[in-house]
Amino acid sequence: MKNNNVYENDGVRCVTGDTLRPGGFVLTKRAVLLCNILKDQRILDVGCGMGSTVDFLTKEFGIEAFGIDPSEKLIHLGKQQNNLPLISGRGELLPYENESFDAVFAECTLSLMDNYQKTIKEIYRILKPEGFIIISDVFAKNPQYIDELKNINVKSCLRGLFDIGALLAEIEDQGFQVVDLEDWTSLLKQLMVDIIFKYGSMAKFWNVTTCGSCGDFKTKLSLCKPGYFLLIAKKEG
Amino acid sequence: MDTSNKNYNEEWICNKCSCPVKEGPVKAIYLSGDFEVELLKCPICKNVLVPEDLAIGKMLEVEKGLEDK
Repeated sequence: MKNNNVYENDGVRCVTGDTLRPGGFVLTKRAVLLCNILKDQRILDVGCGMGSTVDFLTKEFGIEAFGIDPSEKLIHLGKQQNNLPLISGRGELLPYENESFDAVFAECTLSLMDNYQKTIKEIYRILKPEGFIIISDVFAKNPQYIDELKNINVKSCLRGLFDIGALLAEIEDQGFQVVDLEDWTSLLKQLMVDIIFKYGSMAKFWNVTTCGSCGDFKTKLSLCKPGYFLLIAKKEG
Repeated sequence: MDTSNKNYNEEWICNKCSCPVKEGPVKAIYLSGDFEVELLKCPICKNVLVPEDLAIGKMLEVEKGLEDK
């Protein structure tokens, strides 16, 4: 099945900017401070898109940042504009050595992956002892309706809303210790307001970004009641 | 993309301050949350103008969306 990738569509970027997620760098900056990530430490952004976080971390904090993303188109744009250290690849198979990063970001990208559990396992492998996994993503306040979204032909994070309870269990089973979990649904609401002011309504936005093929996605999404969270967990030393 | 985004900047003058209103960020509160929108406001007294078509269009859509959340 061919998915409609809303992230390669300019319709999303004109509302979110190059970060392609709610809140821009608000949670990126917060995570750097909470984890006390220092200058010259190595971080990876999984699902980096055009590399806006890699660029931000390098310029704002002097962090040695790298990015990986499956979209050749977005990687090419990022390299062309800022000559960033980005590579093409998937979260489920990270081409990096064991214990080679101090922190790994997955900003609204785990929800897009075919096998996020495998990605978490890979992130654990490449993190140094006491390194951090930093996840910001969408969740369902009514997780009993999540399965309704799985077969929709739209490649958007909202199709992969998390059941927070299940995610926490998976993170801890992998060997991480959760150190912070925050509700940032306000950022998702602000994005919705920005979209409505840009497009006139959410219905028009979905029609533009999915070329009119979103079907009953909106109805099923409402049932789930989407929210947004920041989760930070530490690899045991 | 919505094309009904008319430019009101030259059409409206603040009655109190006699100066043209300009688009700018306005903090709005609805239900239990607040958010920021670009609205026309007087640069002096900060009074905000919400034209009728905006109130029954985008603002109504925002209300519906927030109630749905």
